[in-house]
Amino acid sequence: MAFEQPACRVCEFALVSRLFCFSCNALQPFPLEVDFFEVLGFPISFEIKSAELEERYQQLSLELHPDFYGSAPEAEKRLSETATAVLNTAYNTLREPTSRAGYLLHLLAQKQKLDERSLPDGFLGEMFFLQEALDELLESGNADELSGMRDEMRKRQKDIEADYAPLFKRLKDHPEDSEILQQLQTHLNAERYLRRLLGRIPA
Amino acid sequence: MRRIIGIDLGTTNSLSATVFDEGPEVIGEGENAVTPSVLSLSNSGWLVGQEAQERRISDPENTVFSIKRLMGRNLDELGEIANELPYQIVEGQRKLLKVRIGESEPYKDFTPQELSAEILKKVKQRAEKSLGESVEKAVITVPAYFDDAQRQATRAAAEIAGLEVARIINEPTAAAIAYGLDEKRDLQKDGLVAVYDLGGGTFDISILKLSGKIFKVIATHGNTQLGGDDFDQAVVETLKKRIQHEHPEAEFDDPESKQILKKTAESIKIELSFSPETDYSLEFPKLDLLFTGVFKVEDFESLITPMIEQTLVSCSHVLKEAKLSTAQIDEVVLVGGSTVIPGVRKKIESFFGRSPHVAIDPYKVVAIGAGIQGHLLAGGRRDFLLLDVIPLALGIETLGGTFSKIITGNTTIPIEENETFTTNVDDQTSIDVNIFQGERELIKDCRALGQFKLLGIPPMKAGLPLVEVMFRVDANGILTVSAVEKRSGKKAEIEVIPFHGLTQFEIERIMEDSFEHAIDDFNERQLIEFRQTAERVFRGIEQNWNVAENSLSKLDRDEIRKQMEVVRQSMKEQDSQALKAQLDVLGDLTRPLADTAIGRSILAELQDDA
Repeated sequence: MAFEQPACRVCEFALVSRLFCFSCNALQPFPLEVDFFEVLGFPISFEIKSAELEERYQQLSLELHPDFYGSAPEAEKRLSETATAVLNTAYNTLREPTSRAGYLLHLLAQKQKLDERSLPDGFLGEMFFLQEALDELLESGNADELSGMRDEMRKRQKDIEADYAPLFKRLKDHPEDSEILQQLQTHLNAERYLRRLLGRIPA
Repeated sequence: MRRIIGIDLGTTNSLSATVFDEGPEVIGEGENAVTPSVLSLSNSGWLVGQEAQERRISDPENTVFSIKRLMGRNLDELGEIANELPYQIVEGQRKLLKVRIGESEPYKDFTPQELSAEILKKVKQRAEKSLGESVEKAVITVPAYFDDAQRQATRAAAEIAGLEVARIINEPTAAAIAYGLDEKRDLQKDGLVAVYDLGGGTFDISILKLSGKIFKVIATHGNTQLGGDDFDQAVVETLKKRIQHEHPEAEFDDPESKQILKKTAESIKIELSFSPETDYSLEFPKLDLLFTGVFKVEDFESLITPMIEQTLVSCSHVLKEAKLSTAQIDEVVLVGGSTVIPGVRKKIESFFGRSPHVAIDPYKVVAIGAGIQGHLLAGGRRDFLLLDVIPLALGIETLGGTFSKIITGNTTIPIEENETFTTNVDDQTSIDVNIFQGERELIKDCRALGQFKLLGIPPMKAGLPLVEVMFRVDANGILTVSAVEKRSGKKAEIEVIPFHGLTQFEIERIMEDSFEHAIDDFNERQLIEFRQTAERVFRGIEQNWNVAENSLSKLDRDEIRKQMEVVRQSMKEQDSQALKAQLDVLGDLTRPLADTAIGRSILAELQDDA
């Protein structure tokens, strides 16, 4: 997906991150609804290498953090504080595949109306049994069986996660394909459901 | 560059530190570096530190310690602690705690913020004296597990003390900075570090990831009501039992007996760090009772074991949060006075399976880290960055008393999150929102921080207004809330009523009431001091003028008269350094006078000063 490269407000150098110019070290004012990919300087895509994300996050933190603006004018101080807050949110959102998928879907599907409660065929039935089994186990408190169930649910979660990359790849070739978008939404819903169930199993 | 010092405001002791040319160090030497966090109200005002420490037994009703345990809390939350403390604690408006001083009416009641402010003032003054310059800004440390109310209380205390808080940072993180940036450090440059911080009243465990210039806190856990004070209390209970075994009638509820027991317990605890057993002797003059005995280290260790186990539960919890096992932890760092106890060290060692780092004095390490952070904030260096987290989730009350998290625990700060609210009734112009902090599902298990009212919502049909509320946690870990109605673009006003803290109005009133307020500032204190010196010197000159007439030329005498006039003018101004400079000139002019036998005694002061 092509996007316009914004330029630095001071030196007009092309910005890597929407928040900061690495060329002249100037903090950049940014729109309220800034896109998290632009914040971290990655193209809008599901594929992000976690080492690269980590490095960019550190690099930007070392420039934006309010600790380095202790004696700066008040406006700049405040800008550094909000920029760092946005950086932290962007980083937290893009770091994990699920939240990244959710965010990306939200960006791409903006104009399309998706069914936000859809679940895969047969999923609810499956979950119903899983939930019953979990209730029983929680009551009996069998630690081994509980941890077995946890592993099973995690595996199910991983399977769903593994589908994100190919789905987003297909979406790249067919940008407005509402069927793929809906499929992604369905996957996300299923994973959210699993996550809630997992949360009920005590450590 | 204005210096920003670091202050470790501890339950038992407080210290300050800064970065000198030779490197970071605590301010002051030996005993002078440490201010016991104790204060005592005398006829001439507050005595703070060592002087107050001495009055714990002689004047227990008017002597206050362990105030940190009261910060941002209410009476219910204090529980047993309120009864164990020898001073009186009462409840003021909005359930705010107050310490009551005096044996009878009229009592004087003080908030923990005011009392902490007295300690901060003392630390500030001592730092100023030692550095020879005024101190206006500081980085102040708090336990990582302090919630929003406790942080707000700490910031209010600093404000009352006339200190600008450049940053509030977490104690274990400060310790990690001190270790991580120590030139002689043997700590790995990259790796996972566990900081175990057990102080006088609080416990924290934090896991940090060090990578290059960045110190990132991954997860933190703790207990703000567990520390060395509780070890003392366990010893006190044992002592009471032992005495009552022989003297069943003995009661120890009076402040003096409580203090005697507490002081003895403290010294038993300290002795047992060095020897397998210790003798003690307790004398209660009011009860006409003398009791002696022996305390063995085994007895002590079995008393504190349950409490140490509790800290290890926190350690397991934080590792789980960070998705790590003990084997993955590269280093363990110990902080806080209670970690010098051999029994504590043994347990930590066996839990983590490695010997901990103790290279930097565990009493000083937090202050030193804060001093380094102050240096960074003042612009003195920018070769490292600390990324800290908010310890507990922040959220609001939703239907059915459930806690809806808006910012999750262990999120890197600063952070902002939005939440949209709407109305239930047509033409509703305000919405009440209750803010809570905690990790549990129901608000009854979380801490109520305050309530805010969204005011000035334009009248619309129910459900139509969209009030977007922004929850912002700044780099100090402190929450602020702002709101805007999105349909009209109108800024909704917010009124936050703190449940545990002081309002800005209350802080200001305390500052006005403070009888030392007028001489809060270093410049003003110096002005007063130099003005007094000038007065004494003038008297000295007048008394010895006959000597001057005999020994000095008229020219010299006129010079002195002229300079006295200049000093007099300068005394009316507000610049202490200018006054000092003029006094120095007068000192030079009167030196021949001071050299004469009669002048020496009085004018010598000026020569010393100059």
